[in-house]
This record gives sequence, C-alpha cells and structure tokens, in this order.
Amino acid sequence: MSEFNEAVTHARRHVQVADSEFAAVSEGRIRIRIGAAIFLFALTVAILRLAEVSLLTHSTETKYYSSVDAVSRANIVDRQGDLLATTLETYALYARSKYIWNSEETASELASVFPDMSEAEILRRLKRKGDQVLIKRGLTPKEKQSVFLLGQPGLLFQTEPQRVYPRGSLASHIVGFTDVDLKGLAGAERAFETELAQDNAPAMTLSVDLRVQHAASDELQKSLDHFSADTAAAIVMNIHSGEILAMASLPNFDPNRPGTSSPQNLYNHASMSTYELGSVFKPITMAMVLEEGVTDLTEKFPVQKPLKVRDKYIRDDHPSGKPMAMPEILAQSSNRGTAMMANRLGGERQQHYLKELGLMDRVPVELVESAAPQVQSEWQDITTVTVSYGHGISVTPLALTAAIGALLNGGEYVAPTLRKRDTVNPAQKRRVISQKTSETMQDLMRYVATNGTGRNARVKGYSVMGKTGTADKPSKDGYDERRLVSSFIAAFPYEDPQYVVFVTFDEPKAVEGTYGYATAGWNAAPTAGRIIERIAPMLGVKRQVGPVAQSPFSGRGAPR
Amino acid sequence: MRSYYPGYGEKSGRTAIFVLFLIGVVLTVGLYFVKTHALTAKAEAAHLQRMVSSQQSAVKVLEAELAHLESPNRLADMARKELGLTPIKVEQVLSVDEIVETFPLRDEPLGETGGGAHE
Repeated sequence: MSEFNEAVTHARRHVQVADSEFAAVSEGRIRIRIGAAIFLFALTVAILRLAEVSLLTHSTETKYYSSVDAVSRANIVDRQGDLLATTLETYALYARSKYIWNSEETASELASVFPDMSEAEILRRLKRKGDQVLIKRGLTPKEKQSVFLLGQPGLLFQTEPQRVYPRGSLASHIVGFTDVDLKGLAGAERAFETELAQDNAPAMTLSVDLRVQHAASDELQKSLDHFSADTAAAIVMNIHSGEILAMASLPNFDPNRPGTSSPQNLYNHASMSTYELGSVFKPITMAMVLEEGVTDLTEKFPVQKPLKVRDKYIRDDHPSGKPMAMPEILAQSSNRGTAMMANRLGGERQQHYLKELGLMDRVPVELVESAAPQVQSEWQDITTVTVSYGHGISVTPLALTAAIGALLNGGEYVAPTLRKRDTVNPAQKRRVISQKTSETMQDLMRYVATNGTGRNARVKGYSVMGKTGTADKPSKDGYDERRLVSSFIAAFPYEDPQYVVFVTFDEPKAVEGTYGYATAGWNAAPTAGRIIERIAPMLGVKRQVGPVAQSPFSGRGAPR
Repeated sequence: MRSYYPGYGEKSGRTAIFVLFLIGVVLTVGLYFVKTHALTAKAEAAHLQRMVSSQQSAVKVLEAELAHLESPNRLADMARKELGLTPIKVEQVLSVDEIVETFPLRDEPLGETGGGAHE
C-alpha cells in the first residue's frame, strides 16, 4: 500500500511541475509573437512607405530640378528667312539686402562695371525695401562675368528673355518693338502678337525683302538729306500679290532702344500719315472716265481756257496754249483737263471708284498703324473737281500705292499685306476696272515717264511708268505754296508690270541743280528712279539691251 | 495541431516567414537601387537638358550676331568707308548678249598656229 501511495504522491508532484513549466513556456511564446508582430508591422510600414516614396511621388521629386524653358516669342524673319527679330536670354541683376554686408562698397564696385549707372543710383536701389531688389536689367554675358568676379555677397542673377533686333533701324517701322514683358507695342510685333506669343510658334515670315528694304531706305535717306525734307516715306509693293517688299519711313529709330527715340521718329509716315497727295491721283481719275466711257483717248479738252468752279479758278502749273487730249493732260499734269473729265463723270461714280480702290477706308493691312483717310463729309461739285487731282482728300502713301497697283495689275484691287503670300495665304482680289482699261493706264503712265513730268525717273534698260504729284500743304489761310508734299508713284517693268514704288517727301527744299524747283519731278521722281535701278536686279527684272519698250502715245524719236 | 514542445511542427511556418522576410529585404534593397538609378538618370537628363538649352541659347546669340554682322546697312557702310565701293549702276551690268555686242568676236581665231606673236 505504501508503494501505491508513494507512486500517487510522485505523480501529483510531477503534474504540478509540468503545469508550472507549461505556463512559463507559453507566456514566453506570446511575448515572442508580440515582438514578431511588431517587427513585421514596422517592416510592412517601412516597405509600403518606400514603395510610396519611390513609385508615387513624382511631383515632389521633379521640384529639385529647375525647368529651363523660359518665356518664348517666335522670331520674325524676312521673305528670304533673314532674321529681323529674335529673343535672347539676358541676365537681370538682383540684390538680397539681407546678405549684403556693405552697401557702399557693393555700390561703388558695381558702378565700375556699369558705366551708365551712377554709384548713388545703385546705392539707392540697393537700399530699397524688399527681400529682392532689381539693380539692372539686360546684362550682357560679359557684364555678368564682371559682376560675378566682384565676389560681392547678396547679388544674384536671373535669366530674362529680351527682344533683340539685329538689323537695328533697318525696317524698324515694319518690325516694331515690344515692352519688357515681350508684349508687342508696334509694327509686326503688335500686328502678329497672338501668333508670335504662342508656345513653340514657328518663325513669322514677313513679305519684306531686307535687301530691297535697305536699297529703298538708303536712297530715301540720301534724298532726304539732299533736299532737306522734314520726313519721307517709300513703299515697294508687288502689285499682283499685295506683298509689301519694303516700307521705309524717315526719320527712323532703333527698335532695340525705342524709349530713347522721339515720338516723331516712331511714327510710320508710310501708313500713318495722311497727305493731300496731289497729281498722283490723276491716273485714278483717268481710269474712272475710261472705264465709264465718258471720254476717250483722243478727245481734246480746252485746257487753255480758264476754268471756274464755284468761284474758284482751277490753276495749272504748266499752262498750255492749246487744247490737249488725255495722254497730254496726264503727261503735263493739267489740273483743268482732269477737272473737266471728273465733272463729266460726276461725284457719285467718282466716289464709287475711290471706294473700290480702297481710298475711302483705312487700308486693310495687318498693321495697327494704318490711318483712315480724311474725306470731306459733304461731296459737292467742287469736291469732285479737287479730288480728281488729289486735293480735298487726304490718304496715306500705302493707300495710294495699293490703288495705283490695282490700276496697273490688270484692274484688280489687292489689299497690301506684310505676310508672305503662299498657297495657304493667297491674295484676295477684287476687280475694279477692266483689263483693257488697265492696259491703257500702263500706256498712259509709261508716256508720263518718257514724255511728261516723270522724265527724271527714267532708268537705262528698264521701262518705268510713273506719275508725279506735288501738293501745297494746307495751312491756316488756305494752301501754303512754299510748303510742299512731293511724291512719285512708279511701276515697272512696263511690258509686264510687277512692282510699284512710291516715294514721298514732306517739305523738300529746292537745291542746286533743281532750278529753284522743289516739285516732285525734281526730287521724288529721281529718287524713285534710283530705287528702281538698285532693286530691279534684286527682284529678277532683267535689264533690256537696246531700246526699251515705248508707250504707243510716244511719237517717233521720243527720248528713250 | 498544436504541440506543447517548442520547435516541433512550427518548422515549416517559420521557414515561410523567413523566406517572406528575405523576399521583402531583397525587394526593398532592389527598389533602393532602382530608385537611386532612376534619380541618377533623372539628374543626368536634367543636366543634358540644361546643356541643350544653353547650347540653343548660344546658337540664338550667334544667329543674332550673324544677322547683325551681315546686315546690308552695316555691310554697305563698311564697303563705302573701307573700300570706297558704291551701289552698282545700271551701266555697269552687262548681259551675255551685251558682251558680244560690246566686245565683238574676232573674225580669225587665235592660237591655231601655236600663237601668232611674231606676225
């Protein structure tokens, strides 16, 4: 029995021991599991975060790399692709006042780099309030390097786009300029603002030919100096496409520094100034009367007799002693003869043609700088008479150029344009006079250049057509005979008219060799001739060997 | 199937956790390298981009300089001042026909007898 009891006691003791071991082990196991769970949780969080950081956060990463695309503005090029305006990156110098340790020293050192800024001015700017103050815009790379080498703290550079016009004052009125924010203010810069400001816009191709522009403005400048005129303008236009190949207005300006020019220089006289252009209107009147058939080329008008319209005598500068027919009236520029024709036509039909030729409205060119004509509100019979020879109506040189172009190109009006024409942008034409009338106008204007007032515009080897116009400038008491606007409209070649050239001078003076005259035949006509002499080879118009084609109105033995 | 003896029967579960842990570590390290590589490539790309744009602006500057240097008004001024050149007159231009007219061809061709200098 005792053995049994002993065994039972032993077993009980054993169970007790096993129970206490079990409890200890299971408690340890729970702790391990808690530890493992915490570790796994931390690891999962770390992995998830890593995945998030590396795969999902793009935007925060790219911030560290500054994007390099600056404000862009498309280039402007001429019809040959030669650069007229471009955007370059320049540097603007800023100062952070917090980091500048000696303003006076910084100012004096900066003044040595920028000779155009005084030390006091720089110091004033440095001491301006603000975290970051502007010292100077438009630094050249060289200036930037010099400032950099000063080693002054607190100076920093920011790149800024700036508009640059490498041709300077050449074609300045056509190209125009922008403000510091690259917004177009004048010329093509303003006219084509939306296209130029687009992102990644292609270069804007203008109709202008830089070589022609140079030749025209060079000759114009020489003549302006020679005849001491106040202002001058010249236009070269393709009469079939309306493309303006050159448009010069003097005095001109440097578009790189438009602020330093006077407002008079910024003014585009070719498209903004309206003049009473005078006799250059006569071909327009002749075209009307021929188109309407109110007279023909042979009818003689009594121009030797005085003509009185509403108490006003119509005067002729070169009075004729005998009646003249249309070719002579145009060649001798007879106001009376033209007035008689206009009288017969009547004001209503005259206004119709003037409107069709674009002389009653603003020229629909892209430029904002295009002035509306000044036309009398009441069209009386005296208006009909004076307008027939270019008085009592003020138009821009560009408007007249387009109108004469329409008379000579076969009779269709084409709006002038600064855009290069192509298949996407073809010329819109509007018929004004018949082909036959247009051909007669070519003959008449050729006759003026060979036998009339436009003889000084002749160029050897080229058949030039033309018409002079000299107008007294209006003043307080009527017209001032000493202050003139002289102009010449020319076109070439006569065999197949392609180009029209218009030259006008405001208040040219008589000089040696003009026999006291300051009229168009002595200044504008020879200038137009010289321009044609220079541009014709550039435009591919061949010089003719031997005698040049004559108008059928020129008799035998007529000069060239 | 719980056992009261530690180690026995949990062997497969523990291996699985270890393998998963290992995969986790490998992926993490892999991701780290991939990420580092991507950042390096990005930095490289940005560097190249900066170089491209600096070259582009240099090209623009050169184009502008070229345009300034070859401006007809500048060339004409220099040609006049330095060389005394003036614009060509119409009379100075001859077409091929005119050359024949101005300088007629000689009737007898020269040089057939090896140069007739002693004639």
